[in-house]
Amino acid sequence: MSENLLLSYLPPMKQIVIMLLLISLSATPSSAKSYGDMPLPIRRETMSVKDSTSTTKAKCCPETDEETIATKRHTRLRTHSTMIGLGSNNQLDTYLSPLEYTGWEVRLLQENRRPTRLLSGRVEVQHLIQANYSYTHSLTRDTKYHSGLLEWQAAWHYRWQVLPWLRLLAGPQLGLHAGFVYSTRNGNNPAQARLSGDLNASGMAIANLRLWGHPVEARYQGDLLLAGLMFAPQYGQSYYEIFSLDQPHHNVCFVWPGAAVTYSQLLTLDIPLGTAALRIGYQGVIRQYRANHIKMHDWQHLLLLGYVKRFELVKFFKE
Amino acid sequence: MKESPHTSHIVNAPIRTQAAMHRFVTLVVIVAVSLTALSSCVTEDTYDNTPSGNLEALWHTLDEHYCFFSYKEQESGLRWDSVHEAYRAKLSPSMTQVDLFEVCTEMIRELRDGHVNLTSSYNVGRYWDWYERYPANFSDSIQRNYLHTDYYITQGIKYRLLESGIGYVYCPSFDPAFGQGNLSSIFSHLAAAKGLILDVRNNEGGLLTSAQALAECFINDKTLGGYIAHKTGPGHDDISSPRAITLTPAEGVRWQRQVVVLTNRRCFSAANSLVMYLKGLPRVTIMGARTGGGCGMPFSSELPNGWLLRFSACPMYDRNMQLTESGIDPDIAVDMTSADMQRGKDTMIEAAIQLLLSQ
Repeated sequence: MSENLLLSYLPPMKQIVIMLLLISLSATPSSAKSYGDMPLPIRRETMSVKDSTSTTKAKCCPETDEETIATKRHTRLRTHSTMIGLGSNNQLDTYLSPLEYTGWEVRLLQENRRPTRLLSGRVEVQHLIQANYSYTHSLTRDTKYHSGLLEWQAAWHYRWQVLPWLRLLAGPQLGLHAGFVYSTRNGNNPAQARLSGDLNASGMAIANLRLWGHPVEARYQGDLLLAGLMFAPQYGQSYYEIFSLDQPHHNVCFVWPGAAVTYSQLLTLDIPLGTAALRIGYQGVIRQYRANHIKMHDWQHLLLLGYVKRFELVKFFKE
Repeated sequence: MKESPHTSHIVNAPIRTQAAMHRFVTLVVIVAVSLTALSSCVTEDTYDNTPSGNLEALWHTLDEHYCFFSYKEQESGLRWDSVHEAYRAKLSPSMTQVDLFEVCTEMIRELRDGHVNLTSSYNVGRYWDWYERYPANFSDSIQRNYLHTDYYITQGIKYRLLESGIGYVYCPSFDPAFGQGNLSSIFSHLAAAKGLILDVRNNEGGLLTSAQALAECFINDKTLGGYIAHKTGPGHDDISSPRAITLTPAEGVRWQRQVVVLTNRRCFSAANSLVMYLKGLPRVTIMGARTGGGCGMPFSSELPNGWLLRFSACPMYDRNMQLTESGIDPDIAVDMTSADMQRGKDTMIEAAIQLLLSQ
């Protein structure tokens, strides 16, 4: 199969992903010198610590050990990024309609990453807060869905420096999701609540590259749902029965990949720009459930634009 | 430029090659695209927007979601599979949307259920035999002789104290949400009445919560109102065990004297549920004609061409675990008479007044 044929076969958003990745093929890994050139700007913030505990700790960590110093410094590096995403959403919720709805989605993402002291400072924690709103419609546009979702995810990634320019990270991720889908035309089944908590396997690859002569950081992250609990009404159960009559009936369901695969992936490219970095990227979310004979899916593909701020807290220990 | 503390430990790393970089990017491409493409997609069987596709979608949606198949088989001898065959034979590829709508409407009428409707941009396919084939037993012109023009009205409920000293409350719909303040105002205003006529004729339903709120004004203790169930799967008999609907006494003003509830065939859905809740309660008499039924809470769906489908999804049962889909018989049967109507009298209201004054 030729490349063109492959591209024409894939949905448009997948084509965009592949094109982004093909662009990055033209990148080369940063040289040793270029790493010294700081691919992304870091703001340093100083803080004096005068208590005796800190002094003792400083003594316990001989600063002549370069690796220890590097690790200690590394554990102070924090990355904050804010992104806005715009893209498409394909929704199915058979509680509301057997038809698939398509439309647009807008999303806000706030990502914070910081190292921890766990496992000799090789564990990073990532907090990801997302809020999205979708407006989708049926093929004939007779009915519309308004949907929103608020998500909080926290991941603990163990870091491997597999190559000088490449880090791999992997670890568990916890997620909480709350939202709704509202149909503009339905009567006694006008909306569907989205409430779930899940445990995911999260992996990340971060490469420091030079793209057309400029230092950039490319990151790919994939999160695969392993197990979780979600709210779902019974096949034909009304929300009146659940909430007005207070009669739940197996409305908390176990979800796992054997029932339906839920996977999200994030591809970002950070380009230094002044004291911060410009971030462009792609986010793809395949969120799917089968519960109580109800099928649901959200297939979201978004282009992301945002900025990244990195800063380092430097502590001075009083001898 | 100053060396980054973050990267200082890798300054002396081996020289990277472009080939290694390409391998990394290729790996990312393979992982990303493979996981996206190979993920088992959760989808639903879809039908084409053709006459055949729309009829199939209609039949299958009802087949999997409608809750009264077993009951209809017993009551009217419905054979849903036979219906499928019969109406598929009426299709032709060249038929117009109007023709298709007629065929689909005929098919849903086989269910004999007022809650099963098909709505297009120009018509509503329906089964209204449950009241159209029966006497109306209601005239708003004659009702004006009792309400006059100075009646009170709240949330669509009209009420006044009749000359006979009986309170009259007409509730034409449960579409508005009734608050305790609305209902308390009504019963406070009629506190001096010797008895109460609650007229729900021609009330075709609305919010079940409004019907329940009104029923709770006539009880002083927690009372079993009936039962509700729901479908648990696509099979015709995948129905949950019924769960009790418990009525809790209203927190506002509660009516403590005799009540006569007036009904006709056009009492449907939530109005039918109100009668179901009230029938058998102390101090309550149901008077008039059999109600229209409609004890399945309707859900909505749609066809590929955009037509909206409504169908009964959650069956409700009375206290004796009987479906009231075909209506509820009154305690005292009364029909409007032509003679009374010619005199401007409402036979049912007059009979209710007589009953309340005699108690």
